[in-house]
Amino acid sequence: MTMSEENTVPHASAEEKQKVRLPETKNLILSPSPHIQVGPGSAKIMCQVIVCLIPAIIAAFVFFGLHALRVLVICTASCAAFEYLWCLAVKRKSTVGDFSAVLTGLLLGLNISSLTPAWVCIAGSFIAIIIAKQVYGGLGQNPFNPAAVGRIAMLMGASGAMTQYAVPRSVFFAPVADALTSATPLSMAESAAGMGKSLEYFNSSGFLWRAFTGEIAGSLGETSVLAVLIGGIGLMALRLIRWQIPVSILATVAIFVSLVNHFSPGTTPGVLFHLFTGGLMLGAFFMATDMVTSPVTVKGCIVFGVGIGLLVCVIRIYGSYPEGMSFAIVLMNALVPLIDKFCYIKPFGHQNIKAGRIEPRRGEIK
Amino acid sequence: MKIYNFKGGFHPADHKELSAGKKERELPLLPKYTVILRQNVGSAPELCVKKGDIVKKGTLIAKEGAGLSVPLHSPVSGRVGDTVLVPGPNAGMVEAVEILTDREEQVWDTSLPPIPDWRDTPVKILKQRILDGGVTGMGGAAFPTHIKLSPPPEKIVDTLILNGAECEPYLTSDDTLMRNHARAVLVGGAICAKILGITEIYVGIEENKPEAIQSVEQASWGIPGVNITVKALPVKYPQGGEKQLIYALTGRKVIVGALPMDVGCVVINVGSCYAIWDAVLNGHPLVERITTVTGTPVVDPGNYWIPIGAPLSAVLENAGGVKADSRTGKIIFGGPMMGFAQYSLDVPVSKNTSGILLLEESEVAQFTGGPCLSCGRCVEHCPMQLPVSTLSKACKNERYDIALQKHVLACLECGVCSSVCPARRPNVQHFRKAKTELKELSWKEKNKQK
Ligand code: SF4
Ligand code: SF4
Repeated sequence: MTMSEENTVPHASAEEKQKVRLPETKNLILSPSPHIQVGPGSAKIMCQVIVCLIPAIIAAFVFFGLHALRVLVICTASCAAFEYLWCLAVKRKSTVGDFSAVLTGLLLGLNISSLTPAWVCIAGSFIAIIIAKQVYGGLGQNPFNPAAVGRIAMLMGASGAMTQYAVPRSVFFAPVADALTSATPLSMAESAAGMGKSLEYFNSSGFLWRAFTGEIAGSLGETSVLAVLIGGIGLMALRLIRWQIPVSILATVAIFVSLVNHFSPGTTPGVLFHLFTGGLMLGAFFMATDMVTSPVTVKGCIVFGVGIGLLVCVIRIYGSYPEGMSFAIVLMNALVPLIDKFCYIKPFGHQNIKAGRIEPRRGEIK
Repeated sequence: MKIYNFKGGFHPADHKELSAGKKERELPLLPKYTVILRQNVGSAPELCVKKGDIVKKGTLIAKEGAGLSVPLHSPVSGRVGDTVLVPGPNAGMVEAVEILTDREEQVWDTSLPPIPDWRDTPVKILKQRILDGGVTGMGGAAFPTHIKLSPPPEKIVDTLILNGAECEPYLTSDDTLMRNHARAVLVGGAICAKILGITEIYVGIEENKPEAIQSVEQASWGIPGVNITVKALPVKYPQGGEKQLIYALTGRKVIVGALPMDVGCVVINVGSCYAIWDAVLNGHPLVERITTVTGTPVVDPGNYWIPIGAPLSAVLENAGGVKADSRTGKIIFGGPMMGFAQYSLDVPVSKNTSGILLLEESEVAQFTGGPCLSCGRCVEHCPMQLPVSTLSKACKNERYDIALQKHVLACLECGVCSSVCPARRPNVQHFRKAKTELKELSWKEKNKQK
């Protein structure tokens, strides 16, 4: 009230009061603050990531035809089914609804060749969902990226079936038997470098362009850099991933490869070749950025990304496998708790506190 | 002057447009007011009137108790009724005294004479007047203002900060005060500066209130003797947190466990400044306050001058009630980030009710506590830069030793980390529990040593 004005307004009249509707107290929710929330929930985040994968899925379909669809459907369906069955077996509420299993299935499918037999897909899904995720306690508890673990298991357990890559073709409905198989550019380059042949072809602009659009042999989602990039930009725009991870991975690979090229030419093809082939793009944007298995702090994310970049280069150039993205991701996943510990951010107005154990209070239980 | 931008924080949709810029309104006289006795932090004042006593508007009805306390005054002219138990704003039943009005003429009690020449008045008298006026903090915690203005002699205070950030979404009461009563607010601030013996005053206002900034800036010219700097601050919650505000304006960091005084600052809410001005220049104690009544279900949201003790139901009636097609899911005293949910319409307004917010059922956050995705959003947005995700897991597992090492005591309980969590984890609740437990433990420890 302002100054000394006197309040002489009469009581509100009775009829006027009756018209006014007051909230019903029996509907009121009582819970502590905060009372509002912002941003999407877990399930919505998973769905948004799946939407960002759509360009890669379309590219897979365009280049590998119906076989791509077959592999993707088998992987996704079996991942969801394993998740459901596990929840049934351990009598937990089904967690299929959080879409994380669907996402794992899609990523797994995009990480393998269109010629992978169905049983291998199902076995890989089993390993990804049950062994790599659920036995640790489900979503949020798994230390390793389920799709990466699934892929590694498939690669090791069924390496014959897993290294058959179809030559991309524009004819959609070719039967499996007719499909031409070929090695991936990465393994071709590695063997060429091993035999001391010229790597000119792999650095030619024609080849690089085909690698960029996806017209090369390889896993379903890995071949088309363009499609993965569209999805990746979507992820960053929706702030679903921390951009520091893909950027630091790609930058590290670029720097490392150009250093190798500078000091010992002929060991490996150029920077663009490495960026455009293999699972680097898909891994950098969709697999390494998996929230659960990446560090929480920004500083940690950069360390994590640089680590993956270094490992992938070392495996590709000096290791016995032509491709190392899944290995690099899983190895760095193992270091995440350590990274989080060392990249600990200091609180605002930080001050050291003496360490000492305080006994938790647990009610009656002694 | 440089503005320091603290790390973290976020800006939710603030819906201030519902109530901002509207004319201030008053409540008509109600037949009955229930004034809660203990409205301030610290001890409750002692009742000094009996049933049937005639009181005027502003008559002392309860003297300040021992220790940290402020007196309490009657919000209207009328008769003193029973002492009753009413639902309190922070849950539970609290003691309150009824003031009954029988259409008596409303007149102010004149036992506190106005002090127009406050510049030449001794500091002691001014401080006594702020105490007599029953002035408390009017934002969140109702901390007695005269205590804030009496730093111990070994603490050197050089800056007074007027907090007009109003970072809580929905609320616009401070905004309204600054738009329409900028001079009163600044004079109140100048009185505080005189009491503290300093001349430097900073006013921190969030950028989304350009009218308030302009009117405060204009008003600051006419006040001699003090050096007033108005600063527009980045719009983000919790810009109005004491530590964040001090950092934003002065670049000084209040370390964990320290007080603003330790870095030479005193922070006072603009609402309290207005109350100080009213108490000193007009001799009116704090008996009514401006409160934002808002939310999507409310028919006529806006800012109302509400006498303390007016029940929630009467306030809502005067704001037109709720819309016919609405389902009110929550009634909150204060803002949506730190306010308290109410369960009854009989709760009276008290000195620190800065807002009455109604939320539609669909707008209410439900913290179901899914598994943590380690997405790092909480860490990114925590204004205290705490490792929230780790901390919340540690607290949930009652590993309070880890929690202590990771500075759980620094948590402001601002609620940002719960609000942004995609897994809807109730992080703040875990921290509140941990802080209580740790305090209890350290208290026990102290007792053991004795
Ligand atoms: S915001 Fe929630 S889900 Fe994300 S890291 Fe923090 S606690 Fe975990
Ligand atoms: S409630 Fe505490 S931990 Fe959460 S954001 Fe605020 S200060 Fe950080």
